[in-house]
Amino acid sequence: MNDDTNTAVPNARPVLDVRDFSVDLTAGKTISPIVDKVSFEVHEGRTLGIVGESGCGKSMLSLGIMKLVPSPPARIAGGQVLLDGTDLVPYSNGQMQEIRGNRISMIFQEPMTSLNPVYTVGYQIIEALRAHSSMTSAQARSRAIDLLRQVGISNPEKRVDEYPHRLSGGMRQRIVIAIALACNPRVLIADEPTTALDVTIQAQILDLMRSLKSESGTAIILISHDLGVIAEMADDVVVMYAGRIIEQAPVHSLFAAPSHPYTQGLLASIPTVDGDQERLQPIPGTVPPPHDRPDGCAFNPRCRFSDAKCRTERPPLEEKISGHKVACWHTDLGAQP
Amino acid sequence: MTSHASTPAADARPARYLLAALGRDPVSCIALAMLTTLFLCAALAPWLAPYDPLQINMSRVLQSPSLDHVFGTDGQGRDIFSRSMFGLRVTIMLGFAAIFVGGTIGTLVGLLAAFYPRTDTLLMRLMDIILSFPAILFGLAVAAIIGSGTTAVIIALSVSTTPLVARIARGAALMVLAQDYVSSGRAIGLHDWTLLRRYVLPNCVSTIVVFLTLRLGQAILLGASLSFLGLGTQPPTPELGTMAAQGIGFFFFAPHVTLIPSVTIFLLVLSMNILGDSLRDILDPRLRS
Repeated sequence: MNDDTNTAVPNARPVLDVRDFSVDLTAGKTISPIVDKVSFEVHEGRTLGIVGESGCGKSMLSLGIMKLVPSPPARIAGGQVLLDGTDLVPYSNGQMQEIRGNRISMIFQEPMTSLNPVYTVGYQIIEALRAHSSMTSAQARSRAIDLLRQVGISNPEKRVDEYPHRLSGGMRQRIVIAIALACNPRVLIADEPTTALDVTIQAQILDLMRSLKSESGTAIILISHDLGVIAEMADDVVVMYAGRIIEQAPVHSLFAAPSHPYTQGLLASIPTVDGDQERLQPIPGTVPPPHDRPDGCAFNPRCRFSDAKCRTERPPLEEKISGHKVACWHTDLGAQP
Repeated sequence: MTSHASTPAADARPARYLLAALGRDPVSCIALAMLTTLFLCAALAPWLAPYDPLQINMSRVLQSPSLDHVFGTDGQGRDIFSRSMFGLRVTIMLGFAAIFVGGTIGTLVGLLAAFYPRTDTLLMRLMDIILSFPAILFGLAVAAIIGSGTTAVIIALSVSTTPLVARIARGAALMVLAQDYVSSGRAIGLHDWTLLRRYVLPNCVSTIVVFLTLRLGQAILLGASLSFLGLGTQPPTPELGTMAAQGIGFFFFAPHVTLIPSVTIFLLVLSMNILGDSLRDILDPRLRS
């Protein structure tokens, strides 16, 4: 875990403040929420981890913040996304183009396909730079070489003229990061940035992101299904299930005292190094599809504590301990599994 | 996917790579040689042609091929060899003009339909409507409106090429739009127009170009057919289809007047189709062994 996880959340205004943010998905005549009234804050120089199974809405949430949800079928249904106090939700596409890549950047999961195959990597960095500033091409080129050096690419003067297909996955992800950081964004959204990479490269990329964060003060939203990565990188964690936040806590509190049965299940399904457990404990069942979510707590069909109340009433997200919020009727039970 | 796999070999020296791949197939070599010869004849017609293609000589009417007139003479004693060279020019020009106009408009329509889903239904149904009319019918209609001539043929061919290209371009663009690099492009704040021009178009251009090379042969054939029917290029301007039509009256005693332009069209279209096919095979990595 990070050293600074124990410091209190700064009181200053958060860089990104997401409030009651919802994204709806239309399929035929049914409209179902895939992101349902999600609220969180990200502060300067801090990392927010978003965890959840496939299909829990974490990617839609990140695309929603950028206003890049594929529309139709998806649509931002409500809430606010405050970037330095300004709400982005009413912004037009043209206004968002000024924000994207400039003040909020994004890194995608698959480095093999997230670079345009027909241009050199230098051209793509320069393109990002010149989309948001009036640099000359010579200035942009030398800045591109600087950026490549900054993300740890050796021989950047030569690499700048390479085509993406000549580079390995790890190198491409470094270039994707260089592009994302080109304009010194306030917020960097990293959607599973290391999932497609092998473990040693994963560690290098995570190190790189951490050192870039401490240099630039960029706030990071790190989306992952890998709790190991989250424990390593995040200061605060949001656990999502079926489009809702079910637990929200500082990283040490979440891992020390997971309070929602789902979070406990996620942690129980990871092998431990001391390994005295015979078998891993999987969570039975799968995430319900958006059009078929149960009433009450969305997790109740898979939860061992579920009772009549869980099946009819949705638990609110409430602060149980200082800074640690949980949406469960049975936290008193859940806290001592 | 196509562009991913083809770039490694193609980006260094695309022309040399293409020629080397063509050279491995004897049929493509012959087709390439044939096409080059025909294009050279067309391009250099004013310098190579032994006679003026419009020069009427009533004392040498309907002569069979001889040393003086290698392809013989037509009903007005004009040298068919010279006329074929000039006719080839017009025929090829018709095809290229149609491919250029139809290809440009079709690509634009296809990309817009893919990029802005709201316009998709409207644009593509419009294309389907155009597609439901045969090209010859378009030729008739256009000729009826603006009068027959070269312009009418180009308009008819362009209009009938547009929907075909639009469909191909839309399909290719939809595939490209689903790629992560387009999302990355959006995420760095590029304008729609920049995305279309630098991300979508270059990545579907190979699909479109291969289709156009195959369509070029058909367009030339259709252009010659329209001229043959009297809707296109008007006499005395030499055009292969018009020339073939002029020989019909004497087909039984001077067949060369019709046969020579017809065979020229045949060879032109055949070599274009063979080359188009091999080009597609070379550029499609799935067919590469």
